[in-house]
Amino acid sequence: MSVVAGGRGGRVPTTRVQPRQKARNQESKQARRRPNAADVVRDRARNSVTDFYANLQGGKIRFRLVAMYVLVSLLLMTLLVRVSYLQTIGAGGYRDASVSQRTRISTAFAERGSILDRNGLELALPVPTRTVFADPRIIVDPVATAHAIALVLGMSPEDELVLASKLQNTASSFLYIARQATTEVAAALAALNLAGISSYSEESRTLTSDGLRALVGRTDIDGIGISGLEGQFDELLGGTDGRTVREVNSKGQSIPIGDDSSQVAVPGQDLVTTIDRNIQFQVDAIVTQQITRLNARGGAAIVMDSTTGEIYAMSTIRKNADGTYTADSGNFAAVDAYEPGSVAKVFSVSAALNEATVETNSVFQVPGKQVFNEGTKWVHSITDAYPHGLEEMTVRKILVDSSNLGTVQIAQTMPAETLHKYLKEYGFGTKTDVDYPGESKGLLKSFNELRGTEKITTAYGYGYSSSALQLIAGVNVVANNGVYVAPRLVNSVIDLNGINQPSAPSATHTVIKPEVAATMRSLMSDVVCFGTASLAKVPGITVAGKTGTGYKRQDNGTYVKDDGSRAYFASFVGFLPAENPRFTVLVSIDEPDPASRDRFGGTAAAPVFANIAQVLINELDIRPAATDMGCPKQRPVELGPAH
Amino acid sequence: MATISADNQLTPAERRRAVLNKSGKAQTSRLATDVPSKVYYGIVAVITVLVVFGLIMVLSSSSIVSINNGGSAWYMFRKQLAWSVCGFFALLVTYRMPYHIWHRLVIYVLATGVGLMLLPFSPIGVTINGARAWAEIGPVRFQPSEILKVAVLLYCASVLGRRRKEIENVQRTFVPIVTVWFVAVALCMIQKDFGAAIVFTCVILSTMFIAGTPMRLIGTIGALTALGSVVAISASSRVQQRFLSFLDLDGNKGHSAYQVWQSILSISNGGVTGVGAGRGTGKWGYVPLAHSDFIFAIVAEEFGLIGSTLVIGLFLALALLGIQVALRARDPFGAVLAGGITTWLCIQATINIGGVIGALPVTGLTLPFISYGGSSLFMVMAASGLLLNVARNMK
Repeated sequence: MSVVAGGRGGRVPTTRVQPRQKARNQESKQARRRPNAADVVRDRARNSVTDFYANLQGGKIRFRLVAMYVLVSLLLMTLLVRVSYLQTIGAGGYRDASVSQRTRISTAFAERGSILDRNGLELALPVPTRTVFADPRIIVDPVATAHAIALVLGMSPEDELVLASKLQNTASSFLYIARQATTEVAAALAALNLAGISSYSEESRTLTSDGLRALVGRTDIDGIGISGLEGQFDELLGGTDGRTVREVNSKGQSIPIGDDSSQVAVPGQDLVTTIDRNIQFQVDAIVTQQITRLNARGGAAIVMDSTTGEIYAMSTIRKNADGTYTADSGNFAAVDAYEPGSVAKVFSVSAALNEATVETNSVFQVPGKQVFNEGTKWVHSITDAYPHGLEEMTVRKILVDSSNLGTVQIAQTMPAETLHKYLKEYGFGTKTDVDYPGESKGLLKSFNELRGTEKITTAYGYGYSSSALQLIAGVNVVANNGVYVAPRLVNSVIDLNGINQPSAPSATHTVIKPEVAATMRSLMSDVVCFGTASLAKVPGITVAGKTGTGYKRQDNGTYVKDDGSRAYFASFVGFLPAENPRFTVLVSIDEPDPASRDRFGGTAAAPVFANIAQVLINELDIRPAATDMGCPKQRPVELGPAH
Repeated sequence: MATISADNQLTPAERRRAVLNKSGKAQTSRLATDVPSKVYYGIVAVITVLVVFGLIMVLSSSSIVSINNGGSAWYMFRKQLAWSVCGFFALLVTYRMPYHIWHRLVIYVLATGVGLMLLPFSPIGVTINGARAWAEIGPVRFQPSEILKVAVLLYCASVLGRRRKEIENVQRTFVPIVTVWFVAVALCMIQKDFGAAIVFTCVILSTMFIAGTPMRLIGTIGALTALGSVVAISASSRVQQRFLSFLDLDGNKGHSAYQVWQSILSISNGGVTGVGAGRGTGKWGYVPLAHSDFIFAIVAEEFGLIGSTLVIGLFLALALLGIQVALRARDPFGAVLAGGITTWLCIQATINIGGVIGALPVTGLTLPFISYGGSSLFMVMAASGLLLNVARNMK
């Protein structure tokens, strides 16, 4: 089989093949019928399938075919390795990119709950608006578009230029044109039919009265409560935003496959406050009128139900830089703390009466001026508000005339620690249960920390501080038969099913005996009838209360301003009717004009109380008891002559 | 009744022979008396699965494009189905026709193929994705280079098979094949169909390699190709970007590598088990040409690693079976033909999938059997018929 072997790989030198073939062809033509043996073998070797296959077994073709198979298989296996990597451990980042490029999540904003007054009238409510935006990529003519928008929105030429340049930035796909515009403005913009300008509906927040701003607080532009009740109850009011998840094709159109993980927005719940909108509105007006008259820095008033602690009105007005008075600076009645001043004499006297160390007709020898801690570094001289010599005073007269030194003597009938304990019972030094955002807990040092004359001055309201909320809650103990009731602002929550879920009643604790409270009420009605608070009188009904005229402690650590003038803090806390109180009212006037005669608690704050009391009487139909005889015509002898 | 029970005891081969004896065909057809081997049935199975799976994938990936083009969602699928039916008849013809006949026909086929390659430059030519490689006659659009691929393959196998003993004779074997190669590649370059040029080069190199051409000659062609590629790539920055962008997918994902980036996102999205038949996301406008060149991305997304392993595994099986056929072919022509067809299909699949998964540059080649593209499917099926023909006649 040498011929066959020679043909295996075709290794015969090519130069010799051609002549041989030609020769063979000629030969076969000539002698086709007489092939010799060699021809037969050669012919079989060339054409026989069997021989080719035998050759292939060990030949070059076989080797090369196997090599080719190995090559192709290796290539395909390499692909398989890469694909396996991409679809298993290497998939993460690519899969995320894939999901994010085809997934569009839009937020379905939950409708914010309303804040209602005690009668279900709105205080703060959502208002539908439209937000107009631009997609600069689609805008055809940015300059003309900006001009048209500027005309509708009344923009200045400078703003128009800025807008035009922003609209030219095709790298951006979103630009606010008008956030939370009224539906009219949005409709006007839509009517322009500008390419690339669209709008979506958004919710803004409005108040039914500007005076509510201080109490209700604010939401930011995205509808999240950031201050006041809006902030405090944001979770409850805000609800839960839903989201719409959809998968889109490369053009942003929704595609019909994909998992629907959309969530429906859960609207916020409504908050029913204890506020009475009508009373709040009128109290705002009364306070504003008085502080405007007195050119004061600000003023606050709180109306509280004496027995339940529900706050019917809480008004805080402040003077702005431009001299106007508005309620949008903050709820200072809860947030700011001042030394309570003479109003706090109520606590010293009631404590002494409760401890039975004095009676209403106990007599004290009261000087007009006294120096304490003489010879120590805490030397401090205390005078009364009006000059007088050494005078015999009953407890009643001390309170009615608001004698500082008399109150000090009453307080000194019991250990200083006892008064301190009572002040804590009255709620000082701890936040009220209102827990208003930023609420002050005042400052009441622990007894061991009291230094120098602080143990003495606490008797008439200096050396510690309280918020207006703490002060009204403290005085209310007297109105509420000796029981402290925590103030509160929330009556109930209307849940998603529309069911009213009432809040828990206010926490209470007894501070003084009911008969002591009754005695205090008679003392405090004398303050109104014959004492410092005569301007708080309400015709036909007996009211009770206590004035306070304090000097505000200045940043320099004294009670005198750098320019030598004093900053007054005039206050009045009272209740009505005096015998069986239904409402306790606090009024404070912050820095009334120091040159005015009406800078005192009795002249600045007490008249406001009288006006507010009239409102309460009218709105809530308060009638005097049958036994209410009004103020006695004759000034009692024990009070001595009026000042 | 007795006959039937006797039949039942016969082997299938004996039964088959008995049937053919009755019809009198046993004498006229040698094939008829032969029992097809397991390799033959294996190839039939692989081709059947590939074609059917391909049709399913074309339906899944083309329906969105079909609708976007304003027609029925089934439009492209129906066209592909029609082509596959035609392809089946082509397969029957190439399978039934004794393959030695191609020795005589191949020169005409080659001439026709080259002639058809000029059609895209006539008024009926169509440009797709920058390549003027299609001709459209009425509703039928085809890519002449697909026909030329099989023609060149047949020519190479014929020349190398017939002149096996002159394999080292440059004049007799090397020059004709290089000439054909040069003409084919030149035509492809004019059409801007670089993928086809690469396939022609692979076909020629692999047939020459299988047939036993000395490595120095193959190396010459390889060197020429490499030189030509380097010149072509460095000549134009656009081509350069296109061919080299796969090296930095993340950096080029916004422009030159967008297609591959999107395809990799789809593939990764599929994970191991896939998102489910028809639920792929890449085909929604993200992966360009998802129904044709990039159909593997959709397979991998919808059927996950299971699907991609199936497809690559089928080509691996085809390689194994096809080389078996070549090894056991009755003659050199059959061996080179079977080896050449197998190599061509597998290499084209490799280049296609490699491009889709970002392992190779994107060349604009279809995935044999699977991709949308009528003339491609038709010619691939015709070539499969040739492979089956060799398989049926092997020792």
